[in-house]
Amino acid sequence: MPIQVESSIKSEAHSGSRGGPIVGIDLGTTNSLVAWVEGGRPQVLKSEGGQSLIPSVVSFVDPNQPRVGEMAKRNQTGDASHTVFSVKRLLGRGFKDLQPILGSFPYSLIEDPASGVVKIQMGDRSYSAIEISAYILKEVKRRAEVSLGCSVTQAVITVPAYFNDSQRQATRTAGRLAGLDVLRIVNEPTAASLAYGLDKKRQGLIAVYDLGGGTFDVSILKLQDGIFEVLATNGDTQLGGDDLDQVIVLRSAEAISRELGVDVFADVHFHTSLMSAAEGVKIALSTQGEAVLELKLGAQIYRKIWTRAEFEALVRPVLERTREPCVRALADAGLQISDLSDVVLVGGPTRLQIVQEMAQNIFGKKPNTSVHPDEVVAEGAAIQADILAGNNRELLLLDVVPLSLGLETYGGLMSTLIHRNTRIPTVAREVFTTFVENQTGVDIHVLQGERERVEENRSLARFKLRDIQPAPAGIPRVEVTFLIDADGILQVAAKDLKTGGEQSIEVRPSYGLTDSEVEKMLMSGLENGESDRAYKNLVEARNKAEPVLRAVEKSWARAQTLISVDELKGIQSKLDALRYAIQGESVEAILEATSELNQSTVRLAELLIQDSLNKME
Amino acid sequence: MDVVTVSRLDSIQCSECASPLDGFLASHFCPKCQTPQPLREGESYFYALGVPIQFAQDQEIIQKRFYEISRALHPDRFASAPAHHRVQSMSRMSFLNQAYQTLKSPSALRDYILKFSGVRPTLSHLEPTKKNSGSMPMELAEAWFELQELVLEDPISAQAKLIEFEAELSRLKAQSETHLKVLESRFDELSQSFPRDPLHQDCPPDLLTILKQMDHELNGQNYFRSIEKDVERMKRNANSS
Repeated sequence: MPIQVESSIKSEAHSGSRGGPIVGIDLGTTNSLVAWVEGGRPQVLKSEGGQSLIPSVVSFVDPNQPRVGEMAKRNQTGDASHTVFSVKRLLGRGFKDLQPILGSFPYSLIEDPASGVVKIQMGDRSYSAIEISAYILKEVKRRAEVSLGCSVTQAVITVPAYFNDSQRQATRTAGRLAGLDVLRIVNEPTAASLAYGLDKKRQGLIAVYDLGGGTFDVSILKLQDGIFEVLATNGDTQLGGDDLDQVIVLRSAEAISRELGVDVFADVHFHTSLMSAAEGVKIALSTQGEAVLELKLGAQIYRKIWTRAEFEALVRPVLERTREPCVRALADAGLQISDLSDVVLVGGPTRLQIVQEMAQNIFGKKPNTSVHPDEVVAEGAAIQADILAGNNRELLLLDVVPLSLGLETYGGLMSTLIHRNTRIPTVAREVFTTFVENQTGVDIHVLQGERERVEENRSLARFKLRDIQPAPAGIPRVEVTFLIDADGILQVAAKDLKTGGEQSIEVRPSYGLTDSEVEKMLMSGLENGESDRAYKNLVEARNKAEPVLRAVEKSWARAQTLISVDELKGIQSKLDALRYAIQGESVEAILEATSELNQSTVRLAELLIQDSLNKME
Repeated sequence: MDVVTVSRLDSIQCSECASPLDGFLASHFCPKCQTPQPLREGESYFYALGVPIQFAQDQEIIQKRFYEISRALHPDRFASAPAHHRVQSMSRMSFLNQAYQTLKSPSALRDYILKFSGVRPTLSHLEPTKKNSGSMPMELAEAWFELQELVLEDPISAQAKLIEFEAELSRLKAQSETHLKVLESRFDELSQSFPRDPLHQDCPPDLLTILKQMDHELNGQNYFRSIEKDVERMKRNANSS
């Protein structure tokens, strides 16, 4: 309909000062969500079908056309060997540090020989966890674009608070690959606290107990006058709801092997079917006292009734692992449990009675379950996006770095430069010199962790100071600045103190991609971006159709009095056609239906304008 | 140590619009053109938070000021600002974070004042630290030596001796802490009589003397701590054998 509503729709969605809305994304182990702030309130953006969760699942049944989300999840059991899930557990990790959990993934994991990074083998192609995460983020971006009716290029993405530098960098790179400018990486429990404290204008000391699909975080915060100050954070990046399912999986696999003589893990299909059945049992037990696990194993059927008591007895030791991080975080914050005014539960698994009991047992206080455990993190990310857009000057997050940062020193020990729970951004400087005459390079090994010995900590990167002026040993002075930015990500710069000039520095991330590798991936994305372009065209076509649809819908009541029933029917059919086309993925169909609806309403538009003018007279 | 007098910091101008910057908030962030100010040479943590140069600090004021400055200065407020503003906001916020963390912790504050005044060298982490063994109390060192011998010869009577030794150790620790507190309040009293930042290049000799005594006392405490660790180890060995 040739009516000038388009501009008003656009301005609604435009809130970022660089143009375009900034959305908040919760990139979860199991599910991802996207939200944005409208009229000061965070809103989770839903699919056409009203779904807010996007399963973090990517399926490669057709390797040229990966499917993401609900559709991919349906493939998870059907075509398990081509479906990737829980990829967040692999993000920013080396193959070697995943050894203990490799067996729990039904898809095949390999080591990238050059970098030591873990990769996922799908048919004859292998993917990095970053690429898989980028597919998920692309789908999230699409969801936001369809829902907001405009292009979305800027985002805040959440990560577990206990994510290290490599994992944060990997998340940011995945965002870039998905075509998003990642304005901020925010910690999940901190984001949750923003949404929790938003309207309650709460003051006081709170603990956020965040048990997600694959990670556990605890953060202690002070809320005062709109400032959300993180006092301490702790966690376990290998502990989550998945581990509770795993307990059921292992117990069932034992029983199946004993009773039916079948090795479930030898068959990818059996393995994934059991995993999804176990998840089902866990979810059912959050509301019922009993649940049935039934598994078809070829011609045989395995069936068992799980009681809540039996399940709880098995998972209690797993959940007990959340205690130590909580105790440490409180100690680092210099607080007693009696100082806390609230304990907030976040994450799907906190719906389980036993998890709530565990939190209550640890903190000696009945936890607050008022927030939506799945949506609160995305909402908080949206609030942070709104803060970055400059729309909200009332609130401010002051966060910390979760793990100590240090350097390798004599005897294979780590010397700490920046202690854990230091407020970010933060900076540390260190002066280096040479040990040998005319030495022109110095190696620096950066570590993250709390242990004394180098090998027990996480290797972040090796830096090489190069082109040092030849001089006797100990004479050159090179100052290296280690800066941890507001995303919790390390940046390094070096300066020659003798000349004051910038010192050349070469960075080799231990697990992850160098900047040039990221560039290469971005470039190849543009070259082979046939599917990307098609995607973009689809979004653009939908964006053209939306305002026309809305304009017609808006004037429908007035139209009844202005045109004949036949004309109305004609428009109605074009309207339905466009509504149908917009659900599909054919760009031509959408454009054609849009143009037909436009044509069928030319006379109506004229009459509406005439009618408005008459009323003004 | 690069330290300038406060008088130079007193008449500062905005790096961008040259308007005069007055007060602790404006020294971080120009109220007129919203520019986060680049770090100035010799700016102290006390100056950053607008609090007196002393050991005794009002924690409520420190937190209030920190929140107030953060509200204006934090990188979140400059997400779409020009690049150099974003960089300046980040480096100044790092500085403010360090100031806050230091002024909140009595032990960090001691270390900071000793370094800022030049009494303690600012050593690189990778260079081996110089051990100041002169601060080791002789009697305690001798008693420790005897105790170690006794454990080998006569473990039973060493037990009684150990209890005695621990009591002496904690008495000396408490005594040292009391002495430090006295030195701190003497420093605080004296420093107030200076109209300007007393920690600049020519730290007044009276203050320097106090700080040197404190440094000596703190080195002694390091020694106590290492002995405490040895005592723990000795106890563990005794229990396991």
